[in-house]
Amino acid sequence: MKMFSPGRIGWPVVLPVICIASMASPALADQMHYRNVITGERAQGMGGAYTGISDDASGVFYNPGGLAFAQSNDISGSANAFYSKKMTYKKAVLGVEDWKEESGGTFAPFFGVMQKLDRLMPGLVGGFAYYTLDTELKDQDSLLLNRGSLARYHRAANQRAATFGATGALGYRVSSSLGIGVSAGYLKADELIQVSQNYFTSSGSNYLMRSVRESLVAHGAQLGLGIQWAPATQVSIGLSARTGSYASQKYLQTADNLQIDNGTITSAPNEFKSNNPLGSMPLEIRAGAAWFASPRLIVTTDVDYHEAVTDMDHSTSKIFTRDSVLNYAIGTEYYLTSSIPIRAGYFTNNDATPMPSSSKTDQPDHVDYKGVTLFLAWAQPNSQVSAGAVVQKGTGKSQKVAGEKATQSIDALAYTLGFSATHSF
Amino acid sequence: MDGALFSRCNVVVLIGALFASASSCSLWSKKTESPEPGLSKEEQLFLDDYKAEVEVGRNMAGRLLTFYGEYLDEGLTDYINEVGLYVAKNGDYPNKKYMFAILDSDSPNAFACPGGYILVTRGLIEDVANEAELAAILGHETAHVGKQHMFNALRSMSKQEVEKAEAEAAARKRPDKYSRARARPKPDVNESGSALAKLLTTASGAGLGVLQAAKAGMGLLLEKGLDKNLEYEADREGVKYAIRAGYEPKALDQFLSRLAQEKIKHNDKTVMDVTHPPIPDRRKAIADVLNKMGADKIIGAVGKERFEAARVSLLAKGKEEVK
Repeated sequence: MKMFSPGRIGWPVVLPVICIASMASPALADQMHYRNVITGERAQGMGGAYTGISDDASGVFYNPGGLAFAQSNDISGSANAFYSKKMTYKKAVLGVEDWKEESGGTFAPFFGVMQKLDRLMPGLVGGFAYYTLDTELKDQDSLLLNRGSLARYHRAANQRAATFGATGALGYRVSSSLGIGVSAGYLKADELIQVSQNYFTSSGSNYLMRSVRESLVAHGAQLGLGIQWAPATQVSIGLSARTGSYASQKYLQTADNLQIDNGTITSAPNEFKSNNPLGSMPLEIRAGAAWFASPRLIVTTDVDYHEAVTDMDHSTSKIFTRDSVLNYAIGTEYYLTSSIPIRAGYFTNNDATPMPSSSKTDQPDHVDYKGVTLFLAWAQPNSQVSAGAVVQKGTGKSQKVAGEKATQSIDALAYTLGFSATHSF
Repeated sequence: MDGALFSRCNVVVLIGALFASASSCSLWSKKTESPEPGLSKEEQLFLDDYKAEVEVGRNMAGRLLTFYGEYLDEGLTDYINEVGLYVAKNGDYPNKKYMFAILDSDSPNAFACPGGYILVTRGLIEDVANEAELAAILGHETAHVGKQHMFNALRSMSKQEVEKAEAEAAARKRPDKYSRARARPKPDVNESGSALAKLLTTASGAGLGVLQAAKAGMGLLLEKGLDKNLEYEADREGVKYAIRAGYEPKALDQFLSRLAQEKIKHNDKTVMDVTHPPIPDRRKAIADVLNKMGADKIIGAVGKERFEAARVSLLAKGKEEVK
């Protein structure tokens, strides 16, 4: 898919009769598009529609202006969440058979603290949060035997990827109805993909071996601004923006290719390095509104926008180019009893990766998700625990066969089981 | 327990206060059904009362330390404990436990929490002129503890009164309408779903009654004050304890006299003014007890040098801040 450009490194497109000569490597995690993991305890339950609320530690991420409306000092964390994702590439094997990839594992999605700082300055609130924005953990071994002229196809793929941030923020209550905030944080993306593939034809005269390793490490700083305004007692509107700059980016792709055709051996090793693969960090803008309908009910909605960014070095495959993307979320919190709130949300997780075009090759997957969240919490004086699930269903398009212009449709299903707790003091 | 240990214990106190806040059964109904082995029913009742008193006091002390912050000066804290414990030893309740710490507040005040937790402010130590004045003030606070003034005041309240006092304290700190709109329901700790919390927190010996009582107690300490007759009694007892301990009899009167002059000069009103009777009335009550004890004939220690040596770092820090 996006491992390397056959044209650039001279990959001979052999065995054209079999469209499984080389499956592309797993898709890189999306380092620039932060809706794959929903941050925060209450926010996660409400589908990430939290810019208009943001009055707990997760406000550091959504809208530092909301911190100014903090109800108490909080310490909040999500225990290890379990996630699973399954991608089905329709008819990617020989044009008739589906190809499936799965990933799963546990990760720590969120930890945050928030402290009122009235003693320093009345109306001042400080916060810190650590959050995982995207994660992938894949260990897949696939074997296909006796498919037409294909005698054996063996592919071992491993991927680990994590994008996480740590941010500090200050919120300040300018007036009873207006809060402003600033944030400064650190962002890191760390990813490694290794794929090994072996292919034999049933005639015994063709053999193809391909081994690829891809690594990306990038880190940088982010600055954010936020404002939250209550135009009416029970309504809150939030707006926040965040952008930043990478301090360091390193991308390395190494590939070894060995091909034997009727006794003729062709070797095509390749190495590609870049110190600026991602280009700039996209501007991210969030706008949200919340309606505090009653002490038991909140309805909230969010829209967020990610700016487009251009791949700086991959002149052919442009694997890090991202389109601008717009997502929205709507969520609610309802107290079934004074101790048991239920939270639910609906959100889109539209992909920033460009839709694969049939005029190009080696393009990344594009999958647009729609998700629902459902969390149940149990509140006690000064503390709260919650548990629930996030389910995302996606459809999209891929170019799963390296060097081929053909595209396949994708069905994807991802779910996350999360456990969180907040203590107020 | 010495002062340094109390300093180290503050974290534990705070954690205890937090645990108490998560609890769910009433203090006033939290009596042991059957006595522990070896204890009579009366002894068990006394033990239950003592435990409840300590729980309430610990919670209140934790809240005061959280609110004001602790002034960390191990030497000075040790000194305050030394003087306070010596005066208490010469008081009417020498077998009770007393622990002293310093709050980081400019406003001169001292707080006696049930169970023997006594907190004095940095501002008070700055305003005091000598050890005799400090001893009389600490005597006043140990009298509050010994005579269980605060605990009895809380215990005499019905559950409804405690809840009302708590609600009044909350109302005084009522957030603005925008914050109120965001507030979620107060969790109902009596629901069946809270059984786990009960199980987890009962072991800590704390209860919702403790939390409510502590909140109501904070209202008394910081806003309403105890009955004025209890304050006069604490003044009289404090002076008596300090005299028994060998201190200058008129020290508390001198301190109050100076404090009154300062207030006239600066025209300021502190928490102590709200929670205590007027200074002239207090001085009158003190004069009565001094007359009865024949204080004019008693020559007591002033302890000026020892006191100045103990608070030298505090004053030096104050001067640095002024610069």
